[in-house]
Amino acid sequence: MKIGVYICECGSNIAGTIDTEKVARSAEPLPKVSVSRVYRYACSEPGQNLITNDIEELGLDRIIVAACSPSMHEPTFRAVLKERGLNPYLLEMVNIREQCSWVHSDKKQATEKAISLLTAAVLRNALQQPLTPKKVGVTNNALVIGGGIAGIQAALDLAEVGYKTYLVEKTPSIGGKMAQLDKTFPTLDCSACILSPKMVDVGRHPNITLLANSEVVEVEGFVGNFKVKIKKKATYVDPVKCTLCDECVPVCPVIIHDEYNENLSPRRAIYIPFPQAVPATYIIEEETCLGIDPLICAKCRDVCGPEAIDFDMKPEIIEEEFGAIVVATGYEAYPIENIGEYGYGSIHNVISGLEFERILSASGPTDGVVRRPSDGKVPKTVVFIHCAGSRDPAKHLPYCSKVCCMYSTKHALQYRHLVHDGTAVNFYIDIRTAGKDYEEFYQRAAEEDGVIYIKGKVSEILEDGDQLLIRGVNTLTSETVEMHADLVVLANGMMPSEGTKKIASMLKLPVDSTGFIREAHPKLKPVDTVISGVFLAGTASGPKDIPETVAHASGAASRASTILAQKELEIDATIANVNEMLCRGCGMCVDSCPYSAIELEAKNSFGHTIKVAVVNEALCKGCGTCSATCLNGAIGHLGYTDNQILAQIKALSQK
Amino acid sequence: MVQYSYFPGCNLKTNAKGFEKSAVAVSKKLNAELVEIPNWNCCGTVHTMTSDNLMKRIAPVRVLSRSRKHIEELEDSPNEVATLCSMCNSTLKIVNKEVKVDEDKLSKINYQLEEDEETYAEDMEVKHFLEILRDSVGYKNIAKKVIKELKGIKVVPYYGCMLLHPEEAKIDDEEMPSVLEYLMESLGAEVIFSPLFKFCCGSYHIVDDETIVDSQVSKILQDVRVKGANAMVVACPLCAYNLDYQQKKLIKQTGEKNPIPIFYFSQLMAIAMGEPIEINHFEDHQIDPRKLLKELKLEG
Repeated sequence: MKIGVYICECGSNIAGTIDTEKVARSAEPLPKVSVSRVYRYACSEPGQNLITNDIEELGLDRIIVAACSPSMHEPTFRAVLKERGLNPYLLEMVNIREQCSWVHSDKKQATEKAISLLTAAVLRNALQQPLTPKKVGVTNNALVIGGGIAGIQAALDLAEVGYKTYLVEKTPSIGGKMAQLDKTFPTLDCSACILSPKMVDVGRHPNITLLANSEVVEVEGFVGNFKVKIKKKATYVDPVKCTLCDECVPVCPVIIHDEYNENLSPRRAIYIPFPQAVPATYIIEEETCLGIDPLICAKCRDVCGPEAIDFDMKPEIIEEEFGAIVVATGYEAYPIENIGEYGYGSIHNVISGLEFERILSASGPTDGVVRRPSDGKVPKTVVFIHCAGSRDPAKHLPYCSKVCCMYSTKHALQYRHLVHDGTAVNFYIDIRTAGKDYEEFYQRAAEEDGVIYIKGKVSEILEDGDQLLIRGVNTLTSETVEMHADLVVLANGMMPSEGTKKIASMLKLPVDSTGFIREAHPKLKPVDTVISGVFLAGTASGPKDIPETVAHASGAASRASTILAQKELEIDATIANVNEMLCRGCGMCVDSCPYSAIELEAKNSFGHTIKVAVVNEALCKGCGTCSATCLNGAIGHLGYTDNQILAQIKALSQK
Repeated sequence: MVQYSYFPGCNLKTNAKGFEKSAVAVSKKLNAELVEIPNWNCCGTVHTMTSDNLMKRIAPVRVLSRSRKHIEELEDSPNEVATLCSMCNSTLKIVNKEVKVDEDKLSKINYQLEEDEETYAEDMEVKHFLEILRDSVGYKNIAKKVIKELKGIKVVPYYGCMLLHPEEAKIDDEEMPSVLEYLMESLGAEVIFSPLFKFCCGSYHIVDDETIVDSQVSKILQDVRVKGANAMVVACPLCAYNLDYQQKKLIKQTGEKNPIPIFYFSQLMAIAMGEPIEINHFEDHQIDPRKLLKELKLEG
């Protein structure tokens, strides 16, 4: 066994705080070490060549690189070993940058620490065994969860590349929140007009299987081999037979709130969510229909010419295998009734941004005329309050929801275009217009279209006769503001949707403090998650506007393709393994495993049936939780055996 | 008879005598008698709440301790100290909560109290009389005792700040309080809503800058007049003082013809329950409510 040690100076990043020569000299007398060198940039081409040459000339078979974090360059140096025919797991990285030079200032002490870390690594490395990564096959189908604009884009991109893609949507139609919007900033083009061609493409694409009214109920397996159960609810209308004639709707006796119009208008229990819905079919809402029992009411079935209504339809469970999953479960508007001082819920004329969006829409409850909910009058003064819930760490959401400045500006502008003698006032904390043509859009609203902007928060809204009394502050003039308005529109912030929370816990995806799903790396892996094979699209990972969502979704599709395009995948070899002689089948490891990678299996041992833990090599992430939990020391960790770690500890505890 | 250990505070003995006397009188009628703590001291008011100094918490904790002792002598008394003044209520509630969550603070204060052979065992709750009326007595039982419905009184309930703020001391929803409204309805009065029902009266600025109080009070009263009310009902001696005394001054300046009498909620209860009018000490009011009561034939 011949170990080669390489100390990287990383320019002055390491050499500035650590005496690298001294560190290199300290390794020379250690057992099995043949050579110990310092190099300015070990990761550079000449640095790698230096190691390659030493392997050839000195016959090194194990390499230690003391440099940055293994998450940066371990793959680089492993490749060097592999090229020279050595087992890549015989490489050891010692982190003397992030965990030593960067965090210390005393050169003497930092050098001492680097020496101990290196010594520990040499002793551990001498005990290292060559490991062979396992290979698993890949199913070339993709699953996209969520049918908003993010899911639509991701599904279309994946289908275009040629992968069979399932798009699962909880509600009766795809389209998501974008389908409810009237116009989009900053171009003011009609939301439905740019969205519906994409929705139609989804419905027609030969590679896309669209499952509306369906929910993912169970996910098992691992990258390349997810086994997924999807529950498709019964719609009681055969979409193939339904001709969209609308005969069934007028006869339905059940009248309820229409969620598409944000509960501002009524609909029946048999309905089509909106005219451009995909799949284009009427459905019966099980929860509100008088009874899927035709004895009680079957008025719709009686009038249905093509006999599309089938009360005997049953929900079905679809089981399918997928190679990659794209999570596009989206956001939910912040429940502004939590903001007591704005009185949403108790004051009629205080409405949410999405409600105003429907009021502006030509297909909305007021046919595109701006009317307020209480008496249907056209409001002459409308106050738009930004950050309703956002940027309030004490009571509501701590973060900026990113889109509200722009959509409130858009609302004010649209209102001024529709009501020429109306006054639109925006109360804002800061105006954030980071996006192409966004600042110009805001300037246009403020300068050309006469929208008034007041910097400051509204402290309370009170009913005063048939008007609203708004009390707040103008922080630029430090004066209190009191004014009357006919309508107040609150710009709700964005928060993770119920679906996002549910899918995150089902797939064991870590979420950040605000509940949005955490990216694998906030900058360099914005669409990956820590679970390989699962990718993020759109607002499931944080507030985004439409262009950003679309780009994010295409990114997710492209990242998913990198897995779907493989025939088989290599799995990291540093995973848990069970010593069956020691295992007594208590199952504590099964409970502790965060990835559900361990199961108890019955085994025959000298004529007796015993239970032992078995690790699913594809699922195991090598986190080591099970080894720490096991009372018998029966679960070990390949690449991190007890002996190796003890050798490390011994070296570190010696002065 | 349920008896409550009652902490009056300074105002109730000076410029709000009618508040106390009427409240004590109706409390007896409602089987929730307010019995004064024999040896109470000042709650500490602003001095307690404007500094973190633990010394300033001793006064309110001593009140709680004495009230606890007082309960032993009372009949069917819950472990509750009843208050009438919004400021006292707020101070006592906040300090009570503070020592309940921080044992260290309580033991330091108790160390000081030992000199007077007092100690507090954090087993009291502070309740405003309005809370007792709402939660323990109930509006239905109040309505049953009404013998003279307050027909013709169009009253704006006014809460001010201390009943609703801060979070730890609030007696009702801070955005949409309703206790005074329901109480007035159970007395047969017509309740009129003014959006300025929580607007600050100017509070202690009365001692350093009257103009602030004047601008607040004139706004509040203007809206009360616009909404067609003929009275206001309050629960705080300081609100009452500002609205009553400054109104008199403003009327002199502007020649306003429509004075709005300011009632404590307990005074209107006393009238509706047929208590003698003298207990209300209406002679202390700057805007004499007896004129309105006479017009409406409610004076007794």
